Amino acid sequence: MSAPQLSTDRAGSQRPKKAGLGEVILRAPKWLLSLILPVALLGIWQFVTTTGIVAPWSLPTPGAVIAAAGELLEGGDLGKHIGISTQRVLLGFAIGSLLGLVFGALVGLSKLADALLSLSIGALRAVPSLAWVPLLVLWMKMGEDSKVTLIIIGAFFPVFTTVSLALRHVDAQLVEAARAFGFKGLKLLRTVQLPAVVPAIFSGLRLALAQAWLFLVAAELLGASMGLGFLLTDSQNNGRIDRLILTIILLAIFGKITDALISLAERWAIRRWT
Amino acid sequence: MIMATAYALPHTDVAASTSTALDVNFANVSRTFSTKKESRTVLRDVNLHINAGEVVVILGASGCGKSTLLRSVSGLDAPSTGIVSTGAHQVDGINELCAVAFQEPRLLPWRSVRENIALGLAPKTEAGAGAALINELLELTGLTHAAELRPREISGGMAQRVSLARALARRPGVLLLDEPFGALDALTRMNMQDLLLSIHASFPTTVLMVTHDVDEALNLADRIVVLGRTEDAPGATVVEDLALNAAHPRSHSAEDFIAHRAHLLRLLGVDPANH
Repeated sequence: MSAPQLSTDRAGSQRPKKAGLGEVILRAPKWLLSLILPVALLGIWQFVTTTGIVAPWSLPTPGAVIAAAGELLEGGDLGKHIGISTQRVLLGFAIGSLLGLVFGALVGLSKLADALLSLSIGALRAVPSLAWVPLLVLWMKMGEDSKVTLIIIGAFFPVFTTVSLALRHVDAQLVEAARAFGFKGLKLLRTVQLPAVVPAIFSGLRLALAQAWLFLVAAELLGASMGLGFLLTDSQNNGRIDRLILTIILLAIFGKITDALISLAERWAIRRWT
Repeated sequence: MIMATAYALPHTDVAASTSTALDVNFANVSRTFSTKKESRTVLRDVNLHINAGEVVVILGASGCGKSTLLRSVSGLDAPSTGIVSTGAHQVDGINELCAVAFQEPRLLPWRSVRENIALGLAPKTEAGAGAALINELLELTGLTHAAELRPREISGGMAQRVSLARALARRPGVLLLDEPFGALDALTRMNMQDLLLSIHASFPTTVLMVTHDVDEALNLADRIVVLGRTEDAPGATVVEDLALNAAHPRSHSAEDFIAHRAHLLRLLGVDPANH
């Protein structure tokens, strides 16, 4: 699992004074520090389950979860569930963020579009994600469309909001300077406005991806025959708590990996475009 | 002057390829800014003719409409009444015959120095000619060594030279400078003034520059125009139009210089005895 290494979050701030315990610990490589808590949790988990402090029917041992994974892998089911979930997330994320980019640019650049669209989009945004599910299932049945549509809705808003806001706050002096040199319309957008909001686009994409996983599980919990969300409800119904925990861990891992990938891209974009 | 030699001009083709300098004419130019509550007259009946190739400095107190006058030439702003023209072209919308350098460098942070200068190239510039012109401008402004750096990696003075080079890349008939050295430290500002004079020598376009620095005006200008208010009416208009004939570099202890300086300071409401 390479995710912790890639996580970007705050670098340890350096204090000039005496080297306290915190500072000594901070000298260790960051990926090692990130692993301390998961490993400790795993240890505690192992301890409380093998000593019988927690009953196996409320929490299986780590070994049992790994066994469940092996069992599912062998049957080919796990690969299928993961594959279909990943496909839904990526498809919904791609379409949703593209739409978010287009509408965000429209609302951010055009006062007319802002006046016409902002209220409606804001109202749509206020609808809780789960409220869409019955309607989408009714309209599009249980197939892929309903799930991907829900994820599109989830991915759309973060990109839309960050892009429209960022475009409205592009340095007016830069825009004026470019206008003085005769740049206007699409050429102005391409030369000044879009490059100026590239970092914002990436932070919007990052939020959108997190939302996409969120909405995936919502969609799959409430009506699916495959996927990680389905595996959750299925395991709950069959009392397979080992599979339940396995699924939760898998969601954490995949969410973190995709987030780490996009944060790499984000860092590159910030270096390149600021 | 040290900088004049530091920026000793290579025999470039810049001058040869210059588009002709244009004259600028302001005919009864007034500008009133209106909001719902009030309207404020900034410029009133400005009549001014600037000859092609002249270096004209517009002096005035803060907020007197100097920049507004300059913006009416670039087309970033339009007068409420009156006509501004450059050469035979009557300004209406962005005026592509002129180029602007602002008080802030206003460079695109994601582009290198070279790419920022390229932004100023006229739209139909052929690629090879454009690249050659940029190389010449880099040399002219002493930026060749910094061509591939980003704006955040260079000093304020260098950034302002990039801004100047970007404006020159347009090969403007009129070069508009809106307090271009105002945000620089005193020493850098002096170097930039010398640079501007050498640029003008090899690139004899019309220069219209706004400043509130009397010494800068006296150093650079062929002609100083003072904008100010008269008691009877709102808005600023031309209150002095002073031709300077002294050759460059100008001695600050020359009699003319001192007399002009005192006169201009008084016009701007400053007691010359104290400065």
